[in-house]
Amino acid sequence: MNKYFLILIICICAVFKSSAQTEWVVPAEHQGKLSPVQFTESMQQSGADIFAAQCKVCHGMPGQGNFNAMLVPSPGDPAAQKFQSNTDGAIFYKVSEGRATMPSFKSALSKADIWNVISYVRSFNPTYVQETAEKIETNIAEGTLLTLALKYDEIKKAVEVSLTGSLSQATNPIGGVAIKLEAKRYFGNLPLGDVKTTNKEGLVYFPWDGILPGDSLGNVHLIAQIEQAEVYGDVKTEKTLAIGQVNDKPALNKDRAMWNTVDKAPLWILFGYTGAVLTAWFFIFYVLFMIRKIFIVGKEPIAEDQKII
Amino acid sequence: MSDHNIKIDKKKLDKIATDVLKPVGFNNAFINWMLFLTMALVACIYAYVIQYNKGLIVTGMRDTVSWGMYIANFVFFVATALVGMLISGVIGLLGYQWIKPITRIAEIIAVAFAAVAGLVIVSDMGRPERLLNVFLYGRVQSPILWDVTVVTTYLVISLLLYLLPLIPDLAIARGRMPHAPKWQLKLYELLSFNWTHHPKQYKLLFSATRLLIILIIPTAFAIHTVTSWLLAVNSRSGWDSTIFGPYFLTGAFVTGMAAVIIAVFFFRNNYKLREYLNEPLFDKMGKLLEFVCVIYFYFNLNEFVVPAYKMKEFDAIHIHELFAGRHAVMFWLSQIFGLLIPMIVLLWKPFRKPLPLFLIALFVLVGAWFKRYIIVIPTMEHPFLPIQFLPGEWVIYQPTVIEGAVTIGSIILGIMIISVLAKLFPIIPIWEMAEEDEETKTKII
Repeated sequence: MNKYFLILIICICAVFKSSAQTEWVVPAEHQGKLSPVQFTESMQQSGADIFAAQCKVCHGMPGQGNFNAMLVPSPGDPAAQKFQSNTDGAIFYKVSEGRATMPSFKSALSKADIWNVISYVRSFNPTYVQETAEKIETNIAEGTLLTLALKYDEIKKAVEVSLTGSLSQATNPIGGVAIKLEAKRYFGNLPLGDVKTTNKEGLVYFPWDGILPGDSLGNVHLIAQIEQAEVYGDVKTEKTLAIGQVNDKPALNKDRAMWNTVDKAPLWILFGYTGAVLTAWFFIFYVLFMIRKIFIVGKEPIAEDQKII
Repeated sequence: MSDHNIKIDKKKLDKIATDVLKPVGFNNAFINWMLFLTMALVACIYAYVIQYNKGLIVTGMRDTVSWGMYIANFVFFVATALVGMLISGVIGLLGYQWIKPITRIAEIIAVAFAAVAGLVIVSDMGRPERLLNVFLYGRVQSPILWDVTVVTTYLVISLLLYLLPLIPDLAIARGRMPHAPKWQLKLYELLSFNWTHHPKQYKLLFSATRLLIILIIPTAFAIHTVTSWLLAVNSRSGWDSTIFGPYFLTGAFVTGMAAVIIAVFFFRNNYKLREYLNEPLFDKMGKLLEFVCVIYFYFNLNEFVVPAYKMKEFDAIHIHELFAGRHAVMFWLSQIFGLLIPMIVLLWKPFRKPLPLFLIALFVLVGAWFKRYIIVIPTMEHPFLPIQFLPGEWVIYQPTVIEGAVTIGSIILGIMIISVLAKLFPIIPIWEMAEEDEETKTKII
């Protein structure tokens, strides 16, 4: 009896496990997250571009149902009822975190980009009415233009990021704002160290040990941005600095190889092939030359005792 | 052969020339036969035009099985073409005299099948107008480029090996065919290259022929080994075999020998050449077929029994498909009727008489065609990389009517080339047959 009971428990667990896989539960604190700004036409447009580049390959065109049905869990059509019944916050969470075959776009897209994609996806839902987040008060005066700049400080051995605000032609450093530093990768960005808050001079330093692999010149592409984009807006700066490790690996197709292009074919096969072809055709032409000789010899007279017929 | 002093018996020559030259010439029966073939060919060309306009979508080939009946047919054609090398090259160099009357028939088959093999490959191309790119941008590392090169070279050597021994015959025929049309005599004159039976000319002819029959051996080995490498350089089950080269080569000897026997039987009866294409010759051809069948059987044993004993994961799927699965009927029919039974019955002399041997050769040839199908298609149906949720018609290969028609067209074209050559020129080498006996005995190299 105990054995059957155990099997039953295992079965129930299995059912729960599989249902947990199909239902994607978004934590309550993320459900209610809202866009800080009202969606605009230009946001939709930029969202459409991002969608075409990053999302379309699995989700297909919204409203056309041409998503990749072979993937598990199914990506689904973003214009469909099931998809649209998510709150804005739930979509934001799912795009950011990802699960199974859906990659996490947290480090690949900025928060503003994700909101742009959501605004694009929502444009396929005629009954959707947007709510925006309440504006958070900051100690920065209304209308201040925030600017980030980054450079490498040779003495401190650190990447220095400075945040300034300009209002009516006066530029002042801004402290107390959280900044994050990332390096660009093929997919998504690599966070470098923890998020740091600017000091009174509007500066923040990220210690740099120089072991990050760069390209053949040691170049790394750095991106600094304000962590709380909802509060301060999407402010960021990008710069390529030659402070990474020089990574001068030879190209994989540099050497002669069987699978390489014809001008990088292994020498033995080049010589083997051409040698065999030339040899065969040399003899073919030699035989043609002999036929010509047969023709010429035909003009010679034949002695009586040499006659064959 | 080059130091051999030839002496031709005049009386013998007259008789042989009369007999052999009698069926030469385009008579009414031949024209009707060609009209029939042309009509059938036009229907097949129409099928190809459809394929050319619509692309390879009209064939049964899809993502999974991208090599279908065309490639199987190509392998068959290359295999059959190899007989020219077997007869003139291997058996000829060994000094056997009985092959004399059938050397030219073997070369005709070699020329016809090698020429059509090239066209068969073109029929498998979706964009045949880009054929030249194979030569312009081909990669020297690719067996496909080697195959293109070696098929062309083999065709040229076979053609030369067909034309060279024809030179004295055309000179002999010129004076003996008073009723031949003018263009034919003109052609004979052109191709007999001023032949006057000069001893020096014979000497040159012997050395040229000897050079060619030596050259044709590595070329023929290359052509079919490379064809087998097109498959064997893949790691797919059923192709991933180290013995694929010799396996193909020996299979080619079986196919080619069967084709020669069928042709010789046909010419013996229709051209009334029983005196030359006689029963002892059939007995010898039967023995040669038996010999190549035994070797081929030995390679088959290695090719199928060894993987079937180990039953490695993917090989097991392939072997099951062949032995008991979807391809089992074709596999066992081609193995039993195309190889096993012929190999056994040919041990008895009565089966090596012309008619039984002809029937056996028919079975062998048809079996050989299906064997090539078995080699190419089942392997393609089991790719290593799993592809999920493909529509069924992409996975299971079924040749379409158009594919069938184009394939039949290639066979018709081969038969047409053989028919024309066999009516245009004598099919038995007159001068070689008329050589004096004492001399020929010293001819062994």
